[in-house]
Formats: sequence, structure tokens, C-alpha cells
Amino acid sequence: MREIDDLVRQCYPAVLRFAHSILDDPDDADDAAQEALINAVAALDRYRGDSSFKTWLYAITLNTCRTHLRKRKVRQSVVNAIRLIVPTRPATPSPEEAAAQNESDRLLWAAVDALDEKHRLVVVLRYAHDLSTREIAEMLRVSEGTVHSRLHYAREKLLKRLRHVHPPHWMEEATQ
Amino acid sequence: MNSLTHTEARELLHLSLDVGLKPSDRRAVEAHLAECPACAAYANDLARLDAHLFESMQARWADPDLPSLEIDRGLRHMEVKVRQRQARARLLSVAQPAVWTAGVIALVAVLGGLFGAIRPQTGQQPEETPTADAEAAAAASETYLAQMEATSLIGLPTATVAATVDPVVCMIEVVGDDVPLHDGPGEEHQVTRVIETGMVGVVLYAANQGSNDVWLMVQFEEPLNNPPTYAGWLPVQDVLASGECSTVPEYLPGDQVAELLPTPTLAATGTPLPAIFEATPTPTFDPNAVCYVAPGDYGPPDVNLYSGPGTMYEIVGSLEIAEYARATGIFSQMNYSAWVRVEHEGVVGWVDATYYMFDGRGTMGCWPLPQVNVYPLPPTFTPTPTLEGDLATPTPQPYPGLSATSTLLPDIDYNDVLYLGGDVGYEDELTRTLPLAKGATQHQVSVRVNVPPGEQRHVNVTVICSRAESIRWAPYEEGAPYLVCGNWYGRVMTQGDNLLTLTISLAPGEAGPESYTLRGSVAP
Repeated sequence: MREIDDLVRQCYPAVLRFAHSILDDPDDADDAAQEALINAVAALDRYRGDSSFKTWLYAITLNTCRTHLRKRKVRQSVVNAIRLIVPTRPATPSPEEAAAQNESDRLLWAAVDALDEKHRLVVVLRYAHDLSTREIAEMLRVSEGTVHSRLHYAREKLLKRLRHVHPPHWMEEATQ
Repeated sequence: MNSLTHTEARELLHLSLDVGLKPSDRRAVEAHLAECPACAAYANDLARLDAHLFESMQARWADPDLPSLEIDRGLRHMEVKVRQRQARARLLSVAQPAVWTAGVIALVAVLGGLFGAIRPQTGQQPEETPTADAEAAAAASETYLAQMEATSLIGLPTATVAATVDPVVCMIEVVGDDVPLHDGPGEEHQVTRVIETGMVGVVLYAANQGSNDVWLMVQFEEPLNNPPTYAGWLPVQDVLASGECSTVPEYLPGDQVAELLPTPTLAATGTPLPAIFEATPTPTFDPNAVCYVAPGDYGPPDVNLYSGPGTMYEIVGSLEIAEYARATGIFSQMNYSAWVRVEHEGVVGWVDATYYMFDGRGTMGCWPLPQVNVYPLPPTFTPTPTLEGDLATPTPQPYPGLSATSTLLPDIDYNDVLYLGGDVGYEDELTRTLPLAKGATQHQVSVRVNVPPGEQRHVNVTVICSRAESIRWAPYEEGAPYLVCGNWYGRVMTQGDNLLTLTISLAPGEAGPESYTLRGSVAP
């Protein structure tokens, strides 16, 4: 019992942050993080040590998050669209929005959220969690080339979108 | 000497952000940037975006500083979930409590300092002999399990569930990205939908097609989908099975299982379906809910109303920016796109929801919109090859690595056509999984362009794929005729209503599925 408590206490914050970044919903993330930790404990005997423990644990969390995403698949596209829209934003800013350092962050986050799921996912894994393309490939069970392609596409899309809307300060500086 | 094209230089710039470059590539990129101001500006933007992403995204989800009470709450919820899971597993006769015991033993083996560095020490394997601590933890775990078993089965009344769940079932989990579900046991059968990794289903039949080519008929349930229950065939190599699978009945040709396949198909029967096949709205839809959508001012919305969910359908009207129309249903294709059916000034049409604003009015607003299952009929048009003179001319080329017995899939699936229209600046993309059968090494996808009379356009096409051996685009102008799988770019001039076909090939001996993304844009 004590060991289970210790494990959960030590992993919970990291797993919760990871789930939050994938699901972008604090309640869903809480739920998914708990399930992921249960799954991880149950699967520990199958951990072979051929990837880092962090990658292994994140992969389990990612799979659990995907199950959550599937459950809301039907509304996913609508949610993505809604995120872009000011009139349907909550009246009070979310903690994330409150934490936005400036308008530039807000624009960037909106652009990332407007990516489709598989491209948003690689961006979040690469940039929010500082995972290498090899680690991402292991987690997603795709080739490293596919990860490169998706990152390439996502960055292209972000550049295009940020130029199209309101260029962030660094882009304005660059064009002056 | 600078031998890189702009596209190659930019690809290497992206690569440099993630894995670094070989010295020779780095020198080539630097040489290219020195000569190309546009690419140099692009490199500058890209580097700044990269830095901004690292800084901003890490700040977005900062490490949560959870108080102990919050973690205690999480632990309590986890205990509830464990109980529920155990109850379910018991009911399905696939519970393996030994896994838990082994898991806890392994847990203790790796706990020493494990999460200090969040990485176990090399060579530490769960299979190692349990230590005294491990044995103590195992005992603790047994106590833990016993406590849980003494608790009632939360949310799962045993008698009711046991009466409705067959305790001897064969369950599978889909592995691999986006596995096509067929309406018969074999690649030659129609693909009815794509199943995502991790989906779990119940096996109803198994069909042995010989040479270890075994197919399973699987039933899936997705309460939010319409229909919520559907079934189809998957090759056995795309699934992991658990439970009692030795008693799965064998499917023999002629067995009456068609009624379990609710999704109608176009090709199998040859019978034309109505232009739009609509399923009954989900019963959970609140009839009082009202949802309005309007083109937003954030992105570049397509303001047209189409007669069906796609730009290949006829335009039946249009909206202004921020002009709201009532939404009556949604057609969502996986996570890729969503089309919303709207009523506007007496016209029923479909809009691409990507850049639309949603405004829920009423008790439930925009969620849930009733899901509408739509099977689009192919648009009626006749491709007219109009490549001319100095434009690229299709030239027959020997095809390396293609065996004489290779066969193209017989018909163009109109779902595999990327329609770009003829407007300069228009761009779109299409992501598909190729249902390549064993023995068939090629699949065709097409880009349709409809250029106004008397005008001509350049069409840029990019293909991103993972396993294809090569891509061939006959009427190419730039780019190699045979292309290695990856981020490939091709360009061609075209006129009129033209269907430009690409052939994607797998290496001999491989079988699908292969996912690819086809991107196109129209330039002057």
C-alpha cells in the first residue's frame, strides 16, 4: 500500500501535466492521469527497459488519453473550431490563458490548438515536453520519418497561420 | 557549389531543428541561404517559431504544484477505478489478479530512487527475484486487493451484468495506426471505415483464407457514434486478442452475417444510394437545442454552402462573415474534418466547420449536434486530359521494382480525390489509409483541378507518407518521376477540368495499410 502511494505521489504531477497537455481539459486530464497510473502499475512487469521509463510511462498515458479523445471524437472537430472563436470563449480566462505571458503566446496557442489532432500531438510532445523525435516515434509507434513529416507540416501550418492572422512580435520584427 | 532546391533547403532546415544535420548538409544549407534571401527569411522565421514554441508551450502547462490533499483525492479516485476494473474483469472471465501481484513486485524492484531520475537503473528488470521489500509489498497488495474485494461492486450490479454479458468472449484490441475495416474477409472487400489504434471489440467470426491469412469479424461499440454498434472484418495481424478465442466460430462463405454490417457500401452492390443517406439522429439529441454557425474572421473560411459535405458538391448558397445559420447536424470524418449541415434562407446546405464560429443557443447549444452519416456519391464529371505543348507531357516510363503481376486496384475511389477547384491560392489536403492487399503494390490517388476556360494554373502537390516505396506522378514538371516516400513536392501546369493521378507503391512483399497525406495548392 505504502509503495503504491509513493509511486502515485511521485508520478502524479508529471503524468497529470502530460495528460493535460494532450487533452486540454483539466477534468479529463485528472481522470486520464489516474487511469494511466493504474495501467502503468498493472503493466510494470511488462516494462522491458528498452526505452526510458519516462517514455514508457508517457506512452501509457498517451494511450489512455487517446481513449478519452475517442470518447469525445464526435465533438472533437467542433471543439477545435470553438476554441478559435472569441464569442464562445468562457467569460473568465482559463488558468492557462491567465498564465499567457502576452498576446504572442495566446496567438501561438490558438494556432497550435487549430492543428488537427495528430499534428497538434507531435508539437505538444516535442515542445511542451521536450521529447526527441525518436522518443515521440516510440510513443506513437510510427517511424521517426513520420514524426519529422508531421512536425514539418505543423510548423509550416503555424508559420502560415501566424502570418495570416496577427504576426507575433518576432515575426513583425523579422519583416521590418 | 549550391545544389539544393528551395524545397530541399527548407526540409533540411526543419530537420536541423529536431535532429541536427550532417556537416555536408549544413554547409549546403548555409550556401543556399547565402544565395536565397527568401529562404534566409524563412529560416529566420522558423528559428524564431521554434524558440517561441519551446518557451511558450512549456510555460503553458507548467508543472502542477499539487498539494498533498489533491493527490490524496486522486488516490481515492484511483481506488474506485481499480474496483470497477476488477469487477468488469471478473465478469468477463479475463481477470488476471496475478498481473497485479507481479506488477506490485516489479514496482518495488524499481522504486528505489526510480522517480528521482524517473528512469530505472540499467538492468533492473521486473523479472528479478523479489527482495524482502518486494515480498512485503506483495503482501500489502494482497491486503489492498482483499479490502477492495470486500467492497461492493461499484456501479456494476452483478446479477444484471452477468445476465447480459457472455462470460466467454474473445476480445481484441486494434494495434497499428488507422486500420481499415472491411465488409468482408479480405483486402478485396470494401473498406467501410477506419478503426483507430486501441479500439476494443468482440470477435464474432474468424475466416481462414489460407496461407496464414486469417480475418476476424469484430463488433465495436461507440455510444457516441451513429450507429453506436457496427461490425466488420480485420486481418488478424492488426489486432491483439485476449479472452477465450479458441471457440470463435469459423466463418464459411455464404454464412448470413451481412445484417451485422450496417454500413451500406457503394461498390459492393452497384445499387445507387440516395445522394445523402442519413441515419436517425442520436436519441440523446435535445430537440430544444439550437446551434448557429457562421464563418469566422479568424481564418480563411469557405463561405459557400454545398449540397453535400465536401467541396466536390454543388454550391447552393453562401454566407457572409459572422452571418449565422442554424446548424442541424454534423458529419465528422475521424479527426480530420467536420462538415455542418445548416439551414439558411430556406436552403439546406453544408459548410466546412474548420473556420466557423459556433454559437449555442437553447438548453444544450451546439453539443451534441446529431451525427449524420453521409455516403457521398462521386461527382459527375469527365476528366479531360488537357496538358499541352510546353507543359508537362505524360511520358511512359519503365517502373523500377514493379513486378509484372502487380495490379492496380480496379476502380478509382472518389474518396481518394483531392478537389482543388481553380482559384489561385486555394489549398487543401486529404489524408487516407490505403487498403493495399497482399500482392497488390499500387494505389492511385488523384488531384482534380477545375480551371476556368482560357486560363491555366500551376498545381503544387506534396505527398507525405510512411511506408510507400515510391510515388509516381506522370505529368510532372518539377520533381523526380519516381519519388521516395517522404515529404515530396511536385508541380504541374494544367488547364480545364483535369484529373491528375498519382500512383503510390509499396515495396514488393509488403501489405497495407499505408497512411498518406496528399496536399495540394493552386498557383498562378
